[in-house]
Amino acid sequence: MMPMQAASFQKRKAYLWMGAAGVLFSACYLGMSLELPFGHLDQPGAGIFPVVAGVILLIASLITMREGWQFEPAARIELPGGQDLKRLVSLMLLLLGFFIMLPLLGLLISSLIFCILLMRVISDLGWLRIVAYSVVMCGALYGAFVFLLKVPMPRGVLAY
Amino acid sequence: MTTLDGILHGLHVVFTYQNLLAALAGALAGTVIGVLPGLGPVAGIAMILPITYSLDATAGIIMMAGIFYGAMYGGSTTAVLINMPGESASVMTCIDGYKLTRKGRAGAVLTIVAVGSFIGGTISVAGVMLFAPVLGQFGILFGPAEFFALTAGGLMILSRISGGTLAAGLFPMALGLVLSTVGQEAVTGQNRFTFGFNDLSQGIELVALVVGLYGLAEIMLVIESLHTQVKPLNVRLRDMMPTRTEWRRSWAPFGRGTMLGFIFGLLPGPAATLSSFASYRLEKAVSKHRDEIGDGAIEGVAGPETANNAAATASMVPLLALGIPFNAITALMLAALMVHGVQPGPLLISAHPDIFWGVIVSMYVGNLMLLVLNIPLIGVWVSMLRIPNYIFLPLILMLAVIGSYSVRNSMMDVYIFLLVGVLGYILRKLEFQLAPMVIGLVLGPLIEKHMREGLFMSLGEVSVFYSSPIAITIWVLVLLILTIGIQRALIERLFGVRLGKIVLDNNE
Repeated sequence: MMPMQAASFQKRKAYLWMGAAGVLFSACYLGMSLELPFGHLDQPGAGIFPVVAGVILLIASLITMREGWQFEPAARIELPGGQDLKRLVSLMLLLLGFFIMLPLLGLLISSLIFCILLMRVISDLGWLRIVAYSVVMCGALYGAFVFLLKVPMPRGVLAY
Repeated sequence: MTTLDGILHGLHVVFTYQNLLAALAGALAGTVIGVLPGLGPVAGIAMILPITYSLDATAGIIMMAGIFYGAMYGGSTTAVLINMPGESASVMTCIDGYKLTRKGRAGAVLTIVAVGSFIGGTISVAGVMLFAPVLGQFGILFGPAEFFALTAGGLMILSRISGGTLAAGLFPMALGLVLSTVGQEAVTGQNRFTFGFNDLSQGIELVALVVGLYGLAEIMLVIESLHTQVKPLNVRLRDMMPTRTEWRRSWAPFGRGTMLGFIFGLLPGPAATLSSFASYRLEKAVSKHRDEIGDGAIEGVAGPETANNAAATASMVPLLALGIPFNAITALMLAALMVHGVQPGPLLISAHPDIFWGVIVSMYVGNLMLLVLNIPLIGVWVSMLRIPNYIFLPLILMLAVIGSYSVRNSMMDVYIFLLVGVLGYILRKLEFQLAPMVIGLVLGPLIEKHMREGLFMSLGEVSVFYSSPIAITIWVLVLLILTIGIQRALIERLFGVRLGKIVLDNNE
């Protein structure tokens, strides 16, 4: 494996961005909450608790921004870079592909493809060993959950 | 039912084929979950949660309790052998445990850990057995206002004492509360924030959220630093016996760790982790060999490991007696019980004695199973640590997907798993706490229910929430705990004394 190639990001900026995203999200959420029936204090409606939760999120977001503002500029968050980042992004893309394929191809085929590609990304093994390991792992999981425990997982093309 | 009758009833419940198997499977699965990096007890329990739905409520909760204390043991194995805590409660064990391993004492340390965990766990069960019924009786006096104070106040305390800055706890807690409002509202049936998706009308699925938040986020962190996988040393069975000196030096930390762990377990927050930190501090302050702690002293392992098991067990008290989860794992247990139609709370002991006494006795049995099995099985755990990342990471991911999907057979939950996993990764990078988000999601509907009931019953009088003596006492306690930092600073300024902190800072 390659040595760790780390990048970094200012912690102050990260908190400010997170807080700003929270403010935006809570503003939208509060806007939608106010459209729900609010009722009266003696007969509270479905909107009262979301408003309370939205206000708490708004306050928490503002506190996050305030804390971000107080961080030293030297405080940084370590982020993956180079090969590490490539592996992480590959994992995300593979998971996304897996979830798109799952209802179409079913658990057995989609998990087999996912497993083969993920093992290729995170190991130096040859294709033959990767395929062999993946077949055993996916076959065992499929057998255990679908046949033994009767979990109704998507079967996709195998359903026909 | 007296305590003796209860224990006899619990024995009758536990000594059935199904429940003994549930305790054994839970304890062993918990150990595996604790041993494997990338799979903590919260994600592990969440993944197994759908399986417990197919069991009856008693067997399900027995299995989950087994996973909880099993993971405490398993987490310490990796801490001792490869200097990597399997879960956060074993962080302190790394310091002295790994140094002792480098001195060739790994086997002896693991035996001390097993015995300490057994002592902490079993004595704490006795505490649960005696304390929970008393608290349950007291809980009968609670109305909506008191339950509102307890749930809302507990959530506030949890978000504040989980560690990190104010925002690190408050922001995830608020997100959890917001997410808890998604779905059909319980009183009027009004759909909230479902955006036309039928799958969302039942709310955000807890399993998908927890597995994403803890499981996927952790795997993302493992994947980005794959090159750091450390291979453990071999531990031979004949090296497992501690010396007489090691035994002698461990008894007092066992006792102190048990008491500390039990007290922490009753409080909101990550009790197992906080108690192991506090126990380490305590040993450094009072132990005869305090100067050696940090350089490989058995006290630095015996105390924290006993404390975290005692705390894990004691954290069942608020759940069983009041129906209130104070950490992410008991929140999952609450969710599992509610799926089975069982509402934990003051009436649990009288309405469902099978569950209460069954769980109590199963914890004795499970702890004994762990002690008997784990020492001879140490070779198995060591070989599990040798499983390459490229095998167990895809395996865990596929299990996580199956776990997320299988609860409601919904692809929506699988997408939520992915989204929440990314969110969890970002929150972890920012050093935010994840537990307040899970507890916020679980307690949100309860807080809303108690708030609305209180307002209905008092005809809109808001003062109902702070007028009864019990509610006032709870709010005063909440205020005292929340302002502990200010009080400390005030005492230091007024009396010119420097007070020590119970919990270590992040950089210690």
